[in-house]
Amino acid sequence: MKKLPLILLLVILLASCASIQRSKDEGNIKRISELINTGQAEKLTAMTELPFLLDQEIIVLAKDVATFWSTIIEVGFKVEEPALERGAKVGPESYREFYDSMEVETFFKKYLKKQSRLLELETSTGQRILLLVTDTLFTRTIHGFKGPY
Amino acid sequence: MKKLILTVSLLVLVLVCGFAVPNDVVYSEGDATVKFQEGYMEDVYIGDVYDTGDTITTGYDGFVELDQEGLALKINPDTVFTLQEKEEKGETTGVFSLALGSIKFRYDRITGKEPMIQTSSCVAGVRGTEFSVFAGADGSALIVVDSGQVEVESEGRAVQLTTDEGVEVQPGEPPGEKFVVKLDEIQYKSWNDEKINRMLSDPSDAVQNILKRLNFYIENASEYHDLYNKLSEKLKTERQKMVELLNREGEEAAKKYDAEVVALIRDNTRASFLNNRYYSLAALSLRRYVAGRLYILLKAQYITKANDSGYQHFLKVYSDILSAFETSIVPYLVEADI
Repeated sequence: MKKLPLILLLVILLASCASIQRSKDEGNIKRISELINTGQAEKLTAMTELPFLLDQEIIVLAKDVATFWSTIIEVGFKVEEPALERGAKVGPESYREFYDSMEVETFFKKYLKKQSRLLELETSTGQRILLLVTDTLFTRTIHGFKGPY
Repeated sequence: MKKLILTVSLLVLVLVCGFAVPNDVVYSEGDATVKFQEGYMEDVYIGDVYDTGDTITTGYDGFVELDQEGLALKINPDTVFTLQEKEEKGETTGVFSLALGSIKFRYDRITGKEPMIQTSSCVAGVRGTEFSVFAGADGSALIVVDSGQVEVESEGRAVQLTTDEGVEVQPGEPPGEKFVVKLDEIQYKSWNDEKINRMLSDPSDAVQNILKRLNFYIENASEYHDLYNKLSEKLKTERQKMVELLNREGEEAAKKYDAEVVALIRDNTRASFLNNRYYSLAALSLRRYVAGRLYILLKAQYITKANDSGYQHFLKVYSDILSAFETSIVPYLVEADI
């Protein structure tokens, strides 16, 4: 009986941690979508870490990342009303959500950070996008982009 | 288990036979990084020494000059360049692999043992003292000779170039007609932009050429892998025979058997392993720097019209490239390659 308050406290704490994490994930998809929608290719490039995963492709050259962001903006790509579908810490099987290959598996194992997260968003048109993001106290880094699908 | 064997073999190979001549960085500026064979990356610094398996990448403002005992290599901006080696006619030959960008080579003297130069579309044998190699985004190559001679080979056809001559090679095709040209007339950026525009105007053709070249690498990698397996088995048997001989007739007889029989098989086993790696890494380079970059360009351009029939056709052929690569090349790669 004595333990009940402690358990309750733990439950509340865990719930608030989860809700903090969710709001961080929402903040990340909102920020990245905003940068795309407002045509800020340079900021997106600066936020992107190399190597970068685009679908099943590992991009290792900085100019290719810059070309990708600037071209999608030039052709008018927009992420309309993004809503966070789910956010999860990257695990040993997460690579399969991008592409099931040895290269992508190695990318996840070798180049992502312990706290990197896989974020799935849905747009108002029903399209989905997967993002790989690491959000620390001072920096937000994009490691991967898949979609829209 | 297969991967473990490959990793161990690779480490042994690196320890036993590093690149014959080290490459010293004598100058570096701007964005330039090196990815070591072991898989980790760092910035390029003057005084660094690079060996087989190391890849140097320069950014838009990057420039690196390497010195290799009588050879100066000037690695220009936006270039991806790897030091490799291959077994040719019983000897280990260095290979300068240019995946993208341009490099100027200047030899103080020619010894006849110069490394080969490989791009995604051709191999160049050095007979000259000063020449440049350009590797385009579509996998094509342009070789221009300032002085001396260079032999350019692709798809079984060779072209000899002399001073002020150049030739272009498209991926999966033999060298084109040689032409008269001065090196200072070639601007890499405009030449490469032209390649990109052509590739984007007919992506299906470009991706088919890449698939053709990939199949060439797959065929060779697989051939050397089969040979390696056969020779490894033979080596095991002959080593066993040597042990039996040692027990039966003594050390002298065993040493003689080792020198006369085992050593030759050991050399051939090593050579077949080396050549399997050479073709596998050439395929990886083609997949990463030619096929992958084409995918990125097209993906970005068609992101709002993914149902375009031309784009869909490209994706279909591209998926053949991915599956051929995964099935036939990935088994020969290790994590450090990625």
